[in-house]
Amino acid sequence: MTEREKIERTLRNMHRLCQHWAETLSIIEERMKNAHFAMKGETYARVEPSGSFDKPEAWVPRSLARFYRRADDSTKGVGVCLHFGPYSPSQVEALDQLKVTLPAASVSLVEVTTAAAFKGQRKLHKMLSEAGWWNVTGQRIVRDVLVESNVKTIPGQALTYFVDLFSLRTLAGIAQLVVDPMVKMYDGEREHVAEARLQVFRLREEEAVAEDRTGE
Amino acid sequence: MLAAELHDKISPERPAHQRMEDVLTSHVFSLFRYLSNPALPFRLLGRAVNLAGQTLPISEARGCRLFFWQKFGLPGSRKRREIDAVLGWTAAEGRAIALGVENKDRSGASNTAADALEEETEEGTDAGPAFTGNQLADEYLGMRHGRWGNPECERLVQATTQRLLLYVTRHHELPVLEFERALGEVAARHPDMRAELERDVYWVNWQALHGLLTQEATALDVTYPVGEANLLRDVRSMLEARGLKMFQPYADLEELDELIRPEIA
Repeated sequence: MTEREKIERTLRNMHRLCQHWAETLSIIEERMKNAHFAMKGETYARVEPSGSFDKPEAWVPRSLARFYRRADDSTKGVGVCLHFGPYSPSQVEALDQLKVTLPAASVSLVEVTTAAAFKGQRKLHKMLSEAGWWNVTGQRIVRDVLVESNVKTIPGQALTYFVDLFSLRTLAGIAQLVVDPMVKMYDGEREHVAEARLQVFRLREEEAVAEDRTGE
Repeated sequence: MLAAELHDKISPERPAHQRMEDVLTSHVFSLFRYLSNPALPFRLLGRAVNLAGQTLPISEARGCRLFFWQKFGLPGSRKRREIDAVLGWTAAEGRAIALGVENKDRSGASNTAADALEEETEEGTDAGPAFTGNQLADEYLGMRHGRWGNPECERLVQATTQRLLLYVTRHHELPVLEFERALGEVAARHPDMRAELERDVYWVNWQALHGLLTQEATALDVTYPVGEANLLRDVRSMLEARGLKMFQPYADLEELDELIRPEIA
């Protein structure tokens, strides 16, 4: 394959990947609307392509996020973030420590003290992209598949799980692994993803889990 | 495309998104007119579901008739609306069915303009229901109680025992909220019609046709005369070009050279 062909194919693939990911978010959004959630902002999703030639690493979109609530005065919300990479080595390391491999999706329940904290779409999307693993404090794994954290971008607490993006290849997969658990988390079943034993990332080694059980 | 041009839907004065939608309507629903056997577009209709998850009654469908862009009014109203297509056929047990079709691509249901002579909504009269201002609701009322400008379409609709409405969009799932809004509009004025509307309004997406054409791709030349097979291939390409494919992420990624893996001693 010539260099020209490689570039052509790479760009075509990049274009198609963006279409697939946009479609994945559209499917999530349709289901959330059907579940009577309102999205924050129209079809805007936080991407960080930069036109700056001294920041070419920011030309490629790294993540897309969406935030949902049922009421504007609610102090809780849910959201999904699709993580594509390429993240920085330290970010990849942070995800590695949770045993999360890219590309992945994270789903978060976020609770704040006042609903006003949920203003500012860019901040919300940044918070969703970081919840559970980056720029957070108080990280604590819950039932092997969930992680609690205090997010910093807005003052709040998040409960997050991660799922392999390649598991989201069908409408049913998206419903089962993203939308239905996200709705249930919002409606009070915070640990549904663990209770239903869904195929999401286990956030620590099997041996560590076994040790814990032995300890019990 | 022919139907869109013949109905003056592609004039440059019309907004681009409407022209695109009408051309899409023309491309897809003309299959009922141009295929010697309309089994395939009927299979598309067979994928349509209502709010209860029931499918459209298409078994043993025969004798299909098609009218594009038909205007209708309601008894006691001076306004008129236009529906994208009206299909009529005979189904199992001799049931005569009329199906109004509302097609959307990028835009949602238009909840504003019946060809309004006065304000957007109006009160019903003893003569019958009035327009609600909600497109799906009004078109359902049109199928049930409409007076059609085209006498042939009027005869077709009046002669049927079941009058249904189909909403075709690019959604991946039935757009529940749009259906609920339409239900609410009708039920607010005619509470007795709510159950019928839940039962008689169906939805399917354009992507379902792409799925059917993909399934049929290898059999097209055997099943259809060459011209019709080419037409179906072109319709499939047109749907792809508009991004109206079934959701199959990563299936169309192209191979690059294999990664050079380090040798393991």
